[in-house]
Amino acid sequence: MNASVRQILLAAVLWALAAPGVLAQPAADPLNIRGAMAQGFVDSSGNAVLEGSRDGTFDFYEVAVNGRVAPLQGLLLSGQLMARQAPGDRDSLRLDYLQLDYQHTITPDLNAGLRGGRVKNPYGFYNSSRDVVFSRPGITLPRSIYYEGSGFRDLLFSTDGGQIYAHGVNRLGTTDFVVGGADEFDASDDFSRALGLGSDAVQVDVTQFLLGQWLQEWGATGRLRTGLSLLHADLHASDTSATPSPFGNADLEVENWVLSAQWQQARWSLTAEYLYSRTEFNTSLFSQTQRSDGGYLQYTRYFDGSWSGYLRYDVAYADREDRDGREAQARTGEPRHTQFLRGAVGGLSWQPGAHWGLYAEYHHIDGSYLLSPSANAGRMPERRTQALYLMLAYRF
Amino acid sequence: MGLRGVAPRVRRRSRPAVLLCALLAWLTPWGGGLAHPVGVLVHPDLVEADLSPARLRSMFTLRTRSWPDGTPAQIFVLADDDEHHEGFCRDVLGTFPYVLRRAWDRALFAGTGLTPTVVKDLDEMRRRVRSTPGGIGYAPLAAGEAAGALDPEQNL
Repeated sequence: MNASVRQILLAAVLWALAAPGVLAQPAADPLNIRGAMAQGFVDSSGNAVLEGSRDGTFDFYEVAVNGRVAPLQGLLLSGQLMARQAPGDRDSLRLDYLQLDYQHTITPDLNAGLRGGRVKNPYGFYNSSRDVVFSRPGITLPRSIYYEGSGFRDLLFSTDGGQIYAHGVNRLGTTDFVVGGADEFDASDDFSRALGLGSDAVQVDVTQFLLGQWLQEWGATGRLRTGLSLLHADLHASDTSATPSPFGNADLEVENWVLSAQWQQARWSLTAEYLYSRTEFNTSLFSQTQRSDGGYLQYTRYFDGSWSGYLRYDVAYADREDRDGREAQARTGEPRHTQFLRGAVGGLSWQPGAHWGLYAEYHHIDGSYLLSPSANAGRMPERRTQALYLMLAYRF
Repeated sequence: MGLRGVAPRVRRRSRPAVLLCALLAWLTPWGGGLAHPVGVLVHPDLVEADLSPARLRSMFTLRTRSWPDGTPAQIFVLADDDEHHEGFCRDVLGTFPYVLRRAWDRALFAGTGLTPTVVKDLDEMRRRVRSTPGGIGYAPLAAGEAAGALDPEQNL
């Protein structure tokens, strides 16, 4: 983190901490400032999961400061500044979101609203709040669904655009719908980082971006939650480097479907999500359709008010018709483990009180698909990776 | 108030998946302890409000931000590990404290809602609900009192 970023965040944190009235009575005050900060450590063997992780690195942190105000009845203005260094994420201060939200109560059982500005994209259960450890299902998100570490995460995260949403109570339970779209935007940095290329190597414009999500809590208690998310994006990639990139000049059409389910009990929850992704590449030389998929199952156990543990099994395949990567190996000469990922994850978290969280997570990964290309630049990927993640977090 | 469902099935193909499922079977669930029965506490202007568990859950998970007349809902809660909070979640909302906490964190870090105000005890809960238009919280039911929207003026 550079000095100016650190100073801005420190000032914001100190201001918030020095305003006990704001913190003690957040809902009743006109401006509500909150946030979180976390410092992590990652050590891996086999492949790197973050730049420098094979030697152990503390260059893994996240700081978020957010504020919200309800200026008029039905309106909510909210924004968040964030600096984060993590797998697939960049080290800079960014405006994470800044959105104006209007919600109208149509009946006691139905409300609907509009949201515009830089908005968070609903996708799966966790995308909209993925960058703060307190609102994730562990130190890391499942790689299969959320592209954690691959660099493509920024395509999912937040976009400048608008959303229409509705929430209703009905005889099925409760239902949430949201549909949204974004302005055309430049995703060159994200793709360059994802592919381990220089910053000017490729120009990628997202020309169309649409998403939709249906979340359902079933029955009177809502203990069974399901979700269906769709993301559709059209991209145009232009090779701007002296040496040709793998993209060349291409049009891409990406369609991602995510099915989500969660079963909640007093002392445990079981969560499963599945992603089906279809990408069409069209260049002047060839056309190709790639179908990838993946998913995870996570069991979380709540031992008491402050301890919880979780087990996750996460799988992802670059080509669902070539799950063991043999065809890709024959075609490209790349090791076949670059085409799949099977990860077993175990984690523990301890949250003593309202402010602190301490997390530990261990990953045993078979396959190198979706591991950060930039973190492993200049070396052949290995098939197996073990990684230990630790994180200390504070919220205010 | 109950719902029975089937956990998602997965195909067990590899050794880690088999181990995971064995651990899931070993870690059998157990229920929480019994807390004091609690009822919903609302601002005196709202005692006639029709509050089904699903409507309450919409409000306490921050997806409904206003009362039908447009008054913003001001939600007051006790700490996550308070027995009255646990009892309210389980017996009134049909859910659990960790579910509400996750919903609040999602709303907080995605900017989609105003998070509840955490009060230190029941006295402050009653005082804040009584004095805040749109206020809603909870408190133990008095002997013989039925669950429903309780006026904090009558629940002292």
